[in-house]
Amino acid sequence: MKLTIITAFFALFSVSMILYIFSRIKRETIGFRSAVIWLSLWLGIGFFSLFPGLLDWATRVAQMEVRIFFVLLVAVFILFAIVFNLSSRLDRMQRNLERLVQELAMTNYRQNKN
Amino acid sequence: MKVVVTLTALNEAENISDVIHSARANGYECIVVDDGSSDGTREISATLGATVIRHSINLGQGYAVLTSFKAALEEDCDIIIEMDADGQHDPTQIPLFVEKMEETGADIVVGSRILGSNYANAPFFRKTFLPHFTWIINRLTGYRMTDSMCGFRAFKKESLAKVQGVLDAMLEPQYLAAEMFLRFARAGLKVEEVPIDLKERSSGASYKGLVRYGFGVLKAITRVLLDKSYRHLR
Repeated sequence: MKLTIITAFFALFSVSMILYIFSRIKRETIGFRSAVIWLSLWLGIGFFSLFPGLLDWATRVAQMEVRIFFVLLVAVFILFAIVFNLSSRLDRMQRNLERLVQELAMTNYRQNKN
Repeated sequence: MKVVVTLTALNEAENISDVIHSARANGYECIVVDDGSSDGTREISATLGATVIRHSINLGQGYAVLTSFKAALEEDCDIIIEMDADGQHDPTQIPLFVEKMEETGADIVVGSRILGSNYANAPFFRKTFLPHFTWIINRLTGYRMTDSMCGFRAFKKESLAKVQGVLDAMLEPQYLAAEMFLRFARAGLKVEEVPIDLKERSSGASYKGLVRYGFGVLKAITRVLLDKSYRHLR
């Protein structure tokens, strides 16, 4: 484990983000699913910051020549997955909202009618 | 035959009073769905004696039309007229729809702007794209319409009640016309047309961007064709 300023910064930042997520779990301001996603992400970043050798191993396994390309590829993959997940949830929420507004309108209409 | 007129409106305070006046003067009950207006559309409509249903936020015209159908189905009537609140559709033309429905026994009578006398003055985009969209919908449904996108339509209440489940299953209510005809054709509803003349808006601008609307219609058609509930509808 070779600790440089940048890896120490990433490790510390990851730890503080993990603590922040735990505080939000405690305050019940984050859902279970989001908490799991973000905890895994920050744990991964913290872990690879402390053990960069593992990153070299993963880069070799992925048959990529440059470590940074591997990191970028993984980052882009994770971001796409998160965006896809968010857009799906947003679509579902929008549909629910539309149904709710229609239901509310019809309920008020029926109440006024009677 | 008892007729109920449904109007969907977003910020149409300047136009809606003429439409409601005209409809009520001709003896029709009016249901206005206020789709989240902020300009007093709701108050004006209520003052003029229309039944007002309010969406607390703006959902879009398709959703407002669906809400108006649900409300009209709970009213004591035989025919439900759907028309725009911006003054472009003339309530004095409603008898044309009723007569056509009585003559032909159609479940739906659609107003055709193309068959109307003032179509030559229609905007470029409407003239260019409307026939193509209508052709696509005709090919998919077997209907023989000239204008599938006109918002001036008459529905037999009895027929609309039969397909009430379809109204709840709409995938793209924002682009209602395309999806509605596909599903109604599957349900075996009969469609006829009458020529209508479109009036100019007395004020304000339409909220529909035609290019975006065109893409939306194509998206709606694709989604419906891929939908299991549509394929199993008989």
